[in-house]
Amino acid sequence: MALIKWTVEEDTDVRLDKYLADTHDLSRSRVQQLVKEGRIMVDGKPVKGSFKLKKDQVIECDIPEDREIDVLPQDIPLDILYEDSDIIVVNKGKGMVVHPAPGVYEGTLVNALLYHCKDLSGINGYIRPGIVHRIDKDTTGCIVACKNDLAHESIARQLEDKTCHREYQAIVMGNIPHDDGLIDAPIGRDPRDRQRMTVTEKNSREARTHFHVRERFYSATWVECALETGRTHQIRVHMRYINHPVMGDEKYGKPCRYMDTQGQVLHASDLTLVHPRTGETMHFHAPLPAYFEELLEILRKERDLA
Amino acid sequence: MEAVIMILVLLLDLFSKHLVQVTESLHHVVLINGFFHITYAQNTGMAWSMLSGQIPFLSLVSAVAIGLMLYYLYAKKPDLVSRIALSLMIGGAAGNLFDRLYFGYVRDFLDFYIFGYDFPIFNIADSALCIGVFLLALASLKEEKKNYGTDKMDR
Repeated sequence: MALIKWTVEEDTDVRLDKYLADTHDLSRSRVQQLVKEGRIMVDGKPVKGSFKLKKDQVIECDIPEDREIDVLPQDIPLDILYEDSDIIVVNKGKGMVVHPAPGVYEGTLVNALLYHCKDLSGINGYIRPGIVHRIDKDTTGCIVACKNDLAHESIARQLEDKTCHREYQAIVMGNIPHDDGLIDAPIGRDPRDRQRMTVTEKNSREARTHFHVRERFYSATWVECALETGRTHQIRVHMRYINHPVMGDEKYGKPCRYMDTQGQVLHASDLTLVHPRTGETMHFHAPLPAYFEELLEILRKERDLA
Repeated sequence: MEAVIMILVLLLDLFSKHLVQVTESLHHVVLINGFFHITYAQNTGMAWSMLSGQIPFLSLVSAVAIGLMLYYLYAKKPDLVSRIALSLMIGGAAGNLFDRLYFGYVRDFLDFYIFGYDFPIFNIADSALCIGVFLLALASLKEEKKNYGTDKMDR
């Protein structure tokens, strides 16, 4: 059990459920459920989700820890780029979810890892053994998982202090006129649609994406992106923000014109980290996947014809 | 004549959407290289994905709009161009309202390059709506000119 206390700093009279959903990473329905179980109190008294908060009120919330659910080890083929007794680096394929979440309990990377290696670290709750960072379901490429607490703590710290470096390849819509750029715009939940993220001033965190143009096409650009921060959907939201949505990204843009890409054309190509035990700097590279190469071919043909 | 235009627009729209939707090979087609593609998309917002994810609100707005346009068309009997314009708009609005109510999204497939930055994918209903709006604007301009002329004569 984790007992958490917050003091309302803003001078507002916003609803309790909205406040918690906006300022913390809880969904509104999750807040409602906590309220129902009497786990949320304001100034020591249990309240309803519709309670109007005033400045300086103290919210106490007693959040139960993740239930231990059995994640089934499953024999799913994995493209393993590197493995030792501390870490494992996988080139994740299209459509694979990283860890189980409400509604998805099978076929995730964690299911596959549990089958493949019996020694995954479990300090991040129970349902995400070994997972220190995520990539989206339809994004392909490098992801590292940890096998023990030493590795887990080390990689988590490296992700925080940016020793761990990640590079992505993306094909975006339209022509980016610049050769290089930095997108520096805070990302938070979209207040109009909570299923999405967006660039917003409200309840957002800073986000920075560097991009470098690799190749130009008739009305598309191949960019390489380096992340300074790691917000949810960061590259997809930032590219949409500069009006060059990632191709095939139906959440933040349009389906791809040329082929069925099964989601965004985004690939985590490179990962650099310091090995938690040896201290050696290691670099991993996941070659461009077939769907990416195929689209490049189509785009080159179109450019040469047009 | 108004009813014929409305039904024609509606049928053409629904038929074309259905054809593209159920034919896998029509989801990505180059019609004119570097200019005009067919790309099947399911759009949960308004034109050009504004207001994404607000289906109930959008459906209500288009239903009310259709009602108002029908009233104006049949009760006020405006000039010929306005009547054609309103019929196009009603047919188009109905086509997309059908999609929003039946599927929860609008089926789009006309994908042009010329719009540069916003990459809209649209359909026959959107086209009919746009042409209707344009014609209506034209008709009201003409109307204004006429009134302006009679104003002068009165003086």
